[in-house]
Amino acid sequence: MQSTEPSIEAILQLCLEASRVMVYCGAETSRVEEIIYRLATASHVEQVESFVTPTGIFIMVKKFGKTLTQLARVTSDASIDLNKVTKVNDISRKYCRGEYSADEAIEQIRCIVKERPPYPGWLRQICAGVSGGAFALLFHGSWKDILPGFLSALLANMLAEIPDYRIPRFLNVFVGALGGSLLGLAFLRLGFGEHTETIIIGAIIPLLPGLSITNAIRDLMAGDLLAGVARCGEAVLTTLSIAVAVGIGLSMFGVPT
Amino acid sequence: MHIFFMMILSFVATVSFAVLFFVPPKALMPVGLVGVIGWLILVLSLNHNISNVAGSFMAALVIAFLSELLARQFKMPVIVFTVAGIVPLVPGSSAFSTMIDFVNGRYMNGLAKGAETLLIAGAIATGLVISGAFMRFGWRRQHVPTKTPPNNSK
Repeated sequence: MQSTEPSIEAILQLCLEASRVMVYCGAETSRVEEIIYRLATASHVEQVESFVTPTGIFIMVKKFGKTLTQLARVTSDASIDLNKVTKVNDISRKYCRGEYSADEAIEQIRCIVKERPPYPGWLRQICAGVSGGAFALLFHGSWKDILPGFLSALLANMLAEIPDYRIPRFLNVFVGALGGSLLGLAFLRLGFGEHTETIIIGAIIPLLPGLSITNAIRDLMAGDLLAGVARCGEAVLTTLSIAVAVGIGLSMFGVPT
Repeated sequence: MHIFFMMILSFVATVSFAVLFFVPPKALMPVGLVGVIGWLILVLSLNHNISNVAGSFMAALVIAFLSELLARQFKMPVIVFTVAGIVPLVPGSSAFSTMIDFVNGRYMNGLAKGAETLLIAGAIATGLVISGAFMRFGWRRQHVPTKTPPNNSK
């Protein structure tokens, strides 16, 4: 239980840290704005206004007649981490219940940013492969399609997750889709696997911008038009880069008619 | 037996997709079940000659409904449950045929297929939104127990 009222600087800092982690890890806009509102009202501010987009956050709080505004630029790369979103959400709940002081909450959020992800890297790659193989079979494939689907999805995800800040994200996805589809088509040519369609779908499944699309719709429907359109643009570009990459791969191997 | 096996497959696929998004370990099993239920609704509606669009819509409706319930149960954001849950509904084969048609220069067929793909995607989106909106009527405002405000605020 906290005894002293948090200063306006601490409140603003807390709102910024929390919202930055959430936007960075792929939370939708309305949730982030709600978190900011709750953190601020739990700290008894007179007024709080926030404007959150996928690439930047603006927050204004007013307390004791003093107004402070800050903004944070969010560099967006494919760092989706729903675990961190959930944890920051929990911290904000606890703060609103009065279990943390503002400084403790900021400290907790900084710890979350640094902590190791719940699943090791190799497990994620294996899971990308497994989802590829399973979807290759689910989308009306046959038994022979599992292994090519698995390996191509594995390769696609590995290529797409090459961490380099100089490579734009769409190029990452493009390279991943190209590598995955080429490997799948090579398997087909060598006689492993039966259906071109299911293997290709399996290969690109891990690259699909599922979260972008879901968030885009949620944002648009919640009235966060700017954020929604921005996310739509991201999703469309990602999808198109996948489609073009697969098209190039197919034209190298001869397009099935 | 065959459908049972496919259910297990869709469970595995959904859970492994959830791992890609770092869904918290506690939520993995429910997310998998949500995916299976959504996929089952889609397949059953296709078997009963319901169109792909309508089937996807119903599946997304149920997925979003379950996700909202689970989000309250687990005290986690809703997207934790929806994102991996809708993956089995992805209009993969129609998107693939769209691309094949365009690459082969059959632009009219490609446009038709593309329209179908977009309709399915739109149906999934609509299902998610409608369910989410219905679930938020009424009991959206949770009461945050506020500490006693000091004299100099408000």
